[in-house]
Parts: sequence; structure tokens; C-alpha cells
Amino acid sequence: MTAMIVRFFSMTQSPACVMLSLEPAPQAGHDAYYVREASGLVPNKLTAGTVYGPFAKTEAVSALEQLQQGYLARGYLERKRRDYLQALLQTDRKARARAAIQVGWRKPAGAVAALLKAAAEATTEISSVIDALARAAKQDAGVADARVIAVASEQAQKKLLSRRRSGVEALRALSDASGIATAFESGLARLNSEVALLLSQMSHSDLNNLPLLKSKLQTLSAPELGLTLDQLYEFDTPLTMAAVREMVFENALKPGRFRYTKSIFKRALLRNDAWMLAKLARLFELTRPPAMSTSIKSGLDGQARQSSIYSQRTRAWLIRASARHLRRLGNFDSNQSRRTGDTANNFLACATALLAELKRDAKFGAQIFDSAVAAHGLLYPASQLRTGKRRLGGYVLAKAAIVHSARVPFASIWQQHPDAWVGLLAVCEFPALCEGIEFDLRTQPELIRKINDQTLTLLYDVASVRELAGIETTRRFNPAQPDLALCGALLDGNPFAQSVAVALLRDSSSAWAQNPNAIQDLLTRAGTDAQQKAANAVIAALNNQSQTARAPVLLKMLVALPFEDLEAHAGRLAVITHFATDYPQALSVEHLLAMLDLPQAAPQTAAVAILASMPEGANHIGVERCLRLADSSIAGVRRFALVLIESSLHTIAQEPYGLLRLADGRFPDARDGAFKLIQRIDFAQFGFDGILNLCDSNQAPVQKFARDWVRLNLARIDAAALLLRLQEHPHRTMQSFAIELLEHHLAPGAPALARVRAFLQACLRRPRMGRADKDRLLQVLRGRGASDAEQGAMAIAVLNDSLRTATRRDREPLLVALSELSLRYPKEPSDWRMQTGAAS
Amino acid sequence: MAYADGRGKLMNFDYKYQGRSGFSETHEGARLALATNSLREATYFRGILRDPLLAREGFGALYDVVQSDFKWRPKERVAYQLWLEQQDREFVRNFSQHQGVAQSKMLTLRERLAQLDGARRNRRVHFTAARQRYIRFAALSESEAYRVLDPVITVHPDEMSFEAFSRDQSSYARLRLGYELFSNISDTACGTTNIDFSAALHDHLDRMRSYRETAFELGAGGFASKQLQPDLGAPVAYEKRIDLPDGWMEGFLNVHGLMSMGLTKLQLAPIDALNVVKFLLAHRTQASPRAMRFELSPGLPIRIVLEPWNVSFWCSPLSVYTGTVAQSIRIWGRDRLRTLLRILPICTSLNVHLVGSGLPSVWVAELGQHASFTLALSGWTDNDWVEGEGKFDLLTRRAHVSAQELQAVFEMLRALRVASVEDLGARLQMLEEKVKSAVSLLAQDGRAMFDLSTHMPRYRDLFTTAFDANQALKAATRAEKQSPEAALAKALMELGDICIIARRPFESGYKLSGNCADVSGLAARVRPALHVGGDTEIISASCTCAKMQKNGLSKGPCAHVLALRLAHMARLQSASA
Repeated sequence: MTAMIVRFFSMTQSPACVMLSLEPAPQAGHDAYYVREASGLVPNKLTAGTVYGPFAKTEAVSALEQLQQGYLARGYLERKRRDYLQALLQTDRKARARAAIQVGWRKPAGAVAALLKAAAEATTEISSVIDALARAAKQDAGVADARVIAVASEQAQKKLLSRRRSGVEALRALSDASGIATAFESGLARLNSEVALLLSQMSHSDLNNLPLLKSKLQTLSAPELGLTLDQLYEFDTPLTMAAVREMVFENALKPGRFRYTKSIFKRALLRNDAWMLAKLARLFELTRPPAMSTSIKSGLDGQARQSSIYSQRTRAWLIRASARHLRRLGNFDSNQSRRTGDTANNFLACATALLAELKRDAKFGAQIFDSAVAAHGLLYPASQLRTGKRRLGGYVLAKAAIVHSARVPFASIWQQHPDAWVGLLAVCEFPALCEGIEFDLRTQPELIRKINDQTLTLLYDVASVRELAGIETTRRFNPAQPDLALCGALLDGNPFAQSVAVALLRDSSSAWAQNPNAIQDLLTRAGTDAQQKAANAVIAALNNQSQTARAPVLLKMLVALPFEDLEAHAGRLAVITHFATDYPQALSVEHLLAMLDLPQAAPQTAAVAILASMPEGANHIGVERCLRLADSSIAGVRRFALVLIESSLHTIAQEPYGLLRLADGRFPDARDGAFKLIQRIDFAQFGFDGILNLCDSNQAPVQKFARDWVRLNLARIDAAALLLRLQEHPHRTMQSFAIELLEHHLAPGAPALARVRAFLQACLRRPRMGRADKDRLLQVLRGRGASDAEQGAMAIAVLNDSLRTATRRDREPLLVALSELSLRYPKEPSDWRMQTGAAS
Repeated sequence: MAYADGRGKLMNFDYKYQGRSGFSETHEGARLALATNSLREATYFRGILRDPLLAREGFGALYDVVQSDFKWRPKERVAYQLWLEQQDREFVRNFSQHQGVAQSKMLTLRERLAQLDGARRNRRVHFTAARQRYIRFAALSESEAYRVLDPVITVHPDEMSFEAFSRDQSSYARLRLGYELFSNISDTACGTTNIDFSAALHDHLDRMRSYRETAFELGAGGFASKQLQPDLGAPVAYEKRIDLPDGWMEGFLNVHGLMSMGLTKLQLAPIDALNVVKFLLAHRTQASPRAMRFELSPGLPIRIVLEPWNVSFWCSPLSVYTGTVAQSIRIWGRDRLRTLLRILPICTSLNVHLVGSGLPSVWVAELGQHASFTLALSGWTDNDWVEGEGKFDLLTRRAHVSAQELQAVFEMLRALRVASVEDLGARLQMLEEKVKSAVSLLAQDGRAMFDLSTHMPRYRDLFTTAFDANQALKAATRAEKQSPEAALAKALMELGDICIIARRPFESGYKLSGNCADVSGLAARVRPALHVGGDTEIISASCTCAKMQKNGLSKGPCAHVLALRLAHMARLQSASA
């Protein structure tokens, strides 16, 4: 049993209005009810009241009847349902207009006939009557069509905008093709001649004409543009609608334009054009009227008057109009839709569009939903609606209680359409609403089971409920008959959706791994990331297959792979490259070269790997390219490139300079590989310059290799010449090696010593030169100095240069050497003076 | 480059290179190509290096200076702080674990956790090492993009000079390479520009050898291009913008302000400097003072004392102090001498120019007859050339120079590129005093530099904007006005609050003493004493005022000293009149 309401009124007693209601009391039990008595001066402002109960159902009904009897006994009259058809006969034309609107929505029996009669006698309220006729006649189609169409056609030919609008929209609602065609021709005549000509020549279903139409419209003045946009909206063709959607919002509320913007809004109300209705309603909510009024010429008498075209009052009316329209849709239209089996529920469409517009607005900062009238109309009880009179800031709404489907207005509609209710999560940012839907999803497990796959996919974009969506998707998924389209859609989504898709694909891999077409579809994704994820899933599935089993799949994929634009097929390429070694002969050299030119690591690696597995692989790309690939920044490429180089070592040995360059390269693995290959080539092939080049390296590992290599082959190289070169090396280890060579390979005689004199001098001065090296150097100097006077003089000069070193361990052996040489050549000048005891 | 006001609020430097600098070697020879900033005047040079090793070591030392950063910065102990927090959490967690069973269970779990952590560390050791390598690489690349690395290069008619500042802006280095070090010089255009100088290029330069003929090219195209002159239509290979700290350019000007002063010159043998550097490499101390003291006694070898160990290094007989008065000068920031390590083993002699205790020093390593490496160190590391408090331009002299005279000197110097003060005076029919002041103003404005080895001014324009003598004079006046000491000195002079007590000609200039009203108001009168050179530059100064008693000259001369010099200059002018 739902709530029951009885209303009383009295013209003589106070309070004038009384309302008795029977309401469920869920806190007190399943079958408990309250009886509420409320009273006040006017029906919609009941200020006093009492609540009785809770009672059991029978007791509650009995209590209500007692109260009812009491009021009747006191002379109160029960308020009956209003007779709207009778109201159409009132003398006040405004009252008639309001009554016509009510009749249009409520559609009581005989509504069309009454409205036709009212139309015949109507004056200024004719627009409202025609609008109502269109609504009423639509339901009773076939009964009063001809009469209604005649009335609507007559109005459609009027010059006055409101009448013409009502007439044409009524014809459209009643699907009168001939009337619409006539209106189209009349409409064209009203337009600017150039625009009219353009429209008459264009195909209205081809949206490629849109830029041309837009460019033409942009040349129009503001009032002319407004009129044209309204007319285009009236035409209602794909082309004209697209143009209006793109151009209507700019300067929409400026004096020359507002009249027509309002007209488009009213047309949207009549047509239930959810998108336009929501956009314009939000525009009105967010745009305050200007402070200054404008001088405008009246259409009635031609006088110019000051007027604030878009005033606060107009704005309030517009805001009320959208909320009121939604309420009427909820109250009347949706019921009819259900009755007629119409699945396109206007209420849900308009409500969803309006709620989707409730986004965080940077302009208003913390007050995220400035008036949010629609939110109040759609999410909170109608009694709270104070549209246009009281500002309902974001703060108020943020503090509002959590909404859930059982508490929102028109709850039954939402509950009957779980897809629409849950789908709001994906489009709306209104906190209370989102929390409410989440609340429903968590507390009503059956809710998520009712929604369709499309809505379920939308939930993956909502962080707070995506896990629920994942669980539900997994529950619905049948691994034996996998829905690969769904998996593809999830792969195109966010990382969470991708992870769910990967898991689903893994669980069902046995069902699709043998299906090349399904795999191709799965790998054809828009994003690189999605392609990579899909490729990983396919690779995992194919890995579980034997080589024979997966061969047909891979070959089919390979055949379909283009030579050019391989980057767009990254997924397929990843799979092919992963299993590249399965079918080396199947890939052509052109394929491989194309893959080598790609920036991605996987195809490059695969191409080099396949080339490495071919007996003549290196010949296909040439030795120079092999060497370049061995210096690639991709480790896999380097590894296989070294294999290629090894396979053509006999060619490289003829000109091994490139190998030396590789040995002095950037990457340790390439260097080590090059070292091994160098050792397999005859030492003499490198020549003196090549060996020197390696010794000249600045890299410690290369220097170490060079030293060891030279030591091994010392007998085959001109060590004296090498020494003279290496003495210029700036690194200590190579200087140490030069000293090692100096010990045994410096040519005899003073000229040879003179050529290394600067080196000896610098080594003795260098603070970081090792002790052992310095000792060996001193030893050499002592030996060479002792051999002849010329070398002795040179050695003394070198030693003398570092004589004043303050480092004791440097100085002492130096003094010993200098003393020895000074004693041998006493005439050589030195800072060091030897004196015997007797002399001192 | 943007130049906001006359006295150096510099905002940023724009570099645009049409190619990259590089070094290549083949069997035939090697080629070193340095790309110049195409936003600067067209400057190019082509020749064959006669002594590549000398150039290599010079560039190496320059790079060491540019890379160096000796400023002390507290360690960021992030890991330690995290560990401490972890310990605190452990403590709080254990605090409530009274029961022995729970404690033992926790202990077992913790041991297991430690084992697992250790295993994870072992497993990831290669990854961690690779990541570290990458971070180093990325940090180097990133820092290079925004670092003031590219040296300023000037091609003079007789030499090339490369100038740069260290990262901590406390060291200035200049490498001079004379034309005698080159053969087959073909294309030359004098001018000042920047060169693209990266860490990778520095590594490559180490491959320069004397047995390989090395072509040296300096031009817009860099390594990729054979063309030295800028090709305005060529695509830009490399471009960067560096936001300079305010007054970075002022550092350049300060250095040359210092060099134009009369300095105490000492000659050291390379082995003497090496002994000091070797000791510093082997020893570190946390204790103060960490000064290097020059004990100078007339006719005796110089003695260098390193504090706080008080280790003495008696220099070789070559390093005899030729001055007449014994003195002791202490300088700080000695660790910066390590940047000379590459130069010292090959240099022939080392000249040290000192200003005074706590003041900057300039070390000039002679690399044979035609090359030298100059290292100018600020008073101490934290007191850098740019932001330090020492304002050396106050020590230099300034006679009145009109805008026309300044413009004339600028034009003449630009035409000659290098000229002595006497030569400039003779050509312009100007007194040497005025020429010196004009050169000083040009150096302060970044249009000229002072070569310490030849004691000659050289044209070196740091800016791309045209020179405006009026602006330069205004900037100098503004600088003087900004210096309260200079303003006070002028006021003292105008009020007649300074009088010269004694004034006698000395070896090279004058020694003066005076009596002056104390501007600080702490005493009635103070006694400034001054030793000025022939150009009235301050060689040494003292005063009984509180400022000079506390800081000496390390924060610039006091107003009394400056007023005494003004009085002396007035005497000189009246005498010459």
C-alpha cells in the first residue's frame, strides 16, 4: 500500500486547508503506518500538523477515517480533482492557456475536441493551445489528425514567431510530411537569400557541407544569425541541427540573439531534445543577466524602449521551465511511455542529459553547482524546489543527504531502468548522486546484474565501482564461448579494464587461440598500449600451443602484415616478432629490412635474430650495417648483431678497423663481444695504427684489453714506436704501461732518451703516479744515466727538476739516483751538492 | 642574452649552435671543431695545432675548473632519516608487545623479513647498478643542459682566449693560446662568442696526440660543417637557454677589476705548487683555520705554510721574494688549487698575484712562451666572485672621463683589438690617466678585458648590444652611488673632513696617511693610511675605523681610505695643472 492523501478545505474556518495522509513507517515494521495531519492557510504551504502512529494497517485506516469524519462534521469539504476541460472555458485567457497546458499533459478523455474548440476561440493563448493539441493528438493519433493538422498548419504559416513555432512543431509531432515540407519552403523564404540558396543546393544529410554552411552563417549579423539558427532548428535536418549545435551557444544571450535562443529552447522542450534542452538550461543557470538594459525596437508598435532583454525574471522563468518540464515528463510522459511500450523514455533521456551537465565549473570554484535547479527537481523532493527565487549554492547541495534510488523523485522510473540509473555514474559529477548510486550498487547486489554489458563497460571508468564491474564481468563471462568483442572493448579502456580483459583472455585462451580471425580482431586496437596488452595475451595463449598448432595462425597474421606503416600494427608485429624464430624462412628480406628501420625494440631485435639464424644473414645487410647494429642502444639487437659479425668474420678481418671502433664503443656487452672477435683475427691484420687506436681509448676496460693483447703479441709489434706514442696518453694506467715498455724497449742512446724526457719529467711530477711506476722510472734513469755521459746529463737534469719534491718517499729514492749519477758525472750541474765529511 | 640594467641584472643567456662541437680522428689526422654561438658576432678561426698536447691539457684544466664546485653543502641524509623513522615505528610497535610469545613471533618474522629483503637486494643488484648508471647519465645530461658550461671564447689578433667560471662561481679560468701554437692559419675573424663544450667533447679531447696532425676549427657550423661562417639558413642543431644568477656577469667584471689593480706578484717553480697540492690531496682537516699563508721576507725564498698543521714548504731558490717589506698574506679556499693538477706537471713557471689577506689571488701557469692558464680565486669559496661582498672596483682608480673620450677609447680598442695604454694615449692624444680610467670603465661594462701576462687591455665584448658610452658612464656612476662607501667618501671630500697628514713618493706610487672624521660616529677622528700605485690604484690600506679593524680589505676599502685617495688625486691634478 502506498501513501494515501485526502485534502479538505473550508472557506469559513481556520485553518483553511487540511491534508490527511497515510504514510508507510518502515522503521516500525513492514506493515506499520503513520497518519499525518497537516494544515495551513494555502494548500501548498501547510505549516502545522500532527503525526499519529505507528499503527498496523487496519488501525491506521481506521484512524484516518475517524479524522476524516471529524473534519466533515466540522463543515470542511473534501477537495476533489480539478476539471481541466471545464477550465478551458474560463474567461481569463491566461487561465485558459494554463488549463490548455495541463490538458495537453494530462490528456483527459475528450481533450482533443475540447482543445480544438478552445483553439477556435483562442486569442493570444493560441500557442499554448496548439502545443497542448500536439501532445494530446499524438496520443490519440488517427482520431483527430485532420482537424488538428489543419489548425496547426494555419498557425505554421503565421508571421509571429511563437505561433509559427507552435504550428510547425505540432506538425512535426504529428508527422505531417506535407505540412513540414510547406513550412520548410516558407522557412527558406524567410532566410537570407545567400543562406537560402546554399541550403536549397546542399544535401542535408551530408555533414561534410557543415564547414561551408558555418562559414556562410558567420557572415551574418547577430539578429539575422539568431533568426537563421532558429529557422535551421525548425528544419530539423542532420546538417542544420549540426550547425545549430555548434553555433547556438556563442553570444546566445546577447540582445540581438536572445529572442531566438529562447525560441530554440522552447522548441527543444516541445521536441524533448534532451541534448539541446540540457545545454541551454545549464547556460541559463550559469549566466547572470547583464546589469545594463538595452534599447530595443518593439515588434508591436515599432517604438524603441529600454529593456533588459535577458532579465533576472526571464532567467528564473527559463530555469523553472526546464525543471517543470522534467517534472511533467516524470509525472505524465513516462507513464504513457510505459503504457504504450515506448522504450525511448523522454524523462530518462532529458534527466540524464541535465544531470550530465552538472559538472564542476572552474568559473564558480567551490560553488560547483551554482543553482543546480535540475538537480533539485530530479534528485530531491519537489517541495524543496524554489527555483529562481532562492539561490541554492553548491554548499547546500554538498551537505545534502546521500541520495539513493528509493528516495529520489520518480524513484519508480529509475528503479525500472537500472541501466539509466547506474549509467549516470559515468556521466555525472554530482557528488550526492554518485554516492547514492554507489550506495545502491553496494547494498543491492542484484542491481549490477540487471544492467547490460554496455553500461557495465561504462563503470570501468568510475574508480570507486570498477572492481564491482570487474567481478560482474567475470561472472557473466563464459570461457567456453568468450565474448572477444567485450574483451577488445575492455582492452581499449583504462589499465584496470585491461587487466580484467587480460585475465578473461587468459582463462578462455583455449577457446580462441586457434582462431586466426578472432586473434586479428583482438590485436586491431586503436592505442599502442592496448595493442601491446592484446599482443601479450595472444603471445601467452600461443605459447601454450605447440609450434605446429600455432603455425597456421602466425602465418595468416604474417601474410596480412603490410610492408609499410608497420607502427600502426604494433600488436601483430609484437606477436610475429615474438615467434619470429618459428618461421625464419617465411619472412622476406624486405620484411626484415622494414622491421630494422622501425624505432621499436621488439621488431628490430626479431629482425636481427632472424637474420642471425640465416646462413647468409650478414650478406643481406652488409658488414657495415652489422657493425652499426652491434652499437645499437637495444641490447637484443647488439647480441644478435655480434652473431652476424661472427658469421662474416673472414670478411671483416680484411678491414678490421670497424671492429676496433666497436671495441671502443659505448656498451660493455658489445665491447666484450668485439674483444673476443678481435682475438680470433690475426694480430698483424690490425696494423700498427689499429692497435694504437685501441690503446688510445679513454675507457678503462678497453685499455686493459689493449694492454693484455699487446703484451701477448709484443714480439710482433714495434714496441719502441708504441712506447713513443703511448707516452702521450693522459690516463695513468696507460702511462704505467708506457713505463713498462720503456724499461725494456726504449732504443739505446741519448736521442731515444731525449724523446721521452718530457714524459719522464711529467711522470716524476705527477702526484697520482704510482710508487712502483716511479721506482721503475728511476731505475731506468739510473741505468740509462750510467751508460754514457750524454744520457747521464739528461738523467741528472730530469731528476734535478723534481729534486725539491716535499714528498719524502719520492725524494729519497730520487736523491739516491741523483747522488749516484752526480758521483759518476760530478761536472754536471745540479741543485744537489755532495760533500764528503772532510770537506764539510 | 638579456641585459636588464646597466649594472648587471642579467636574466638569461641564449645559445644557438648550428652544429655540435666534436673531435674526430682518422688515419690521416684529427680534427677538433668547436661550434660557436650563432647568436653572437661571427667569430672563426682555422689552423693546425702545433702542440696538441698542450692544448689538450689546457682544455682539460679549463673543464676541471668549469666542473668544480667546492662550496660546502650539508649532506641530505634522507636514508638515515628514513631509518630513524623506521626505528621509531619499531619502538612504538614493540612497546605494547609485552607478551613473550608475541615478541618471539615478531622476532622470527622480522628475521624472515630481513632474509627476504636481503634476497631481494641480491636479486636486484644488477638492476640497481644499471639504474644508478642511468641516473648518473640522466643527471649529467640534465645538468649539462642548464649549466653555465660553455666558455666565452675571444679570438684576438695575436691569440685566442677561453674564459669560464666554475660551478660555484668562485673560480675563474682563462686559457690563452697564442697564434704561434698554430700553423697554416687560414680563416680568422676576431670577436667574442661562446663555444659548445660538453662532457662528451671533453672525453674526446683526451684523444689528442702530437703524432697526429690536428686541425683546429672554430666556427658556426661546428663538427658537421666545413663552413666556418654562420649560415643563417642552416637548421639549428642545438639550442639552450640558461637562466643566469643575477650578477653572474658582474663576476667577470670583478675579476678584471681585480686584475687591473696593483698586485703583489710572486714567482713559484711548478714543483713548489705541486708540493702544496700533493699535501692537500693527501690531508684533510675539519679544524680551522684552513688557510694558506705566504711568509714573504725580502731576498729569501717564499715560505708557504698550510694551517692548521702549520706545515711549511720552503720554495725553490727560483721563488725568491723581491719585495722590500716582510709580510704575511693568508688566503683561503686552497682546495680549489686542485684544478691546476693537470697543468702543473707540464707548466714552465707559475706566477701568483696576491692582493692581501682574505682577498682574491690569481695563479698564472705559463705553458711555454705562447700559452698560459690563469686561475683567479675569490677570497674564499663561499665568497664567490658574483655574490661575494668584496667590491674591487672601489680599489681601482677612476679619473673623470667624458662620454666622448670613453667612446673614442672604445672605438680605438675595438679597431686595434689589443694595445698598450701608452699606445692608446698616443693615438688618441689623451693623457694616460684618462685612458686607464676609460679602460677600467670599459672592463666594468664588459667591453674590454685586462691581460695579466702582458698588462695590456684587450677588446672583448661580452654583449651583443651596441656600446653606449653614456649608458656605461651612467652605470658606473650608479654603481658608485650604490656603494655607500664611495658616496660617503665623496661627501667627506666635499665637506673637507679629510686632510692629508703625510704624503711621500714611494717605489711605485705614493704612501699616504691622513686624518678623517669618522662616518660611523664611534670615534671623533680616524687615521687612514694608504699605499697607492702609479695609477692611484690601492695596493694596501689600513684605517683605525671599526670596519677596517674588523674586516681589513676583504670587504672593500672603507670610506675614509677612499676619501684619502680622492684627496691625493686632487693633489695630483692640481700639481699637473
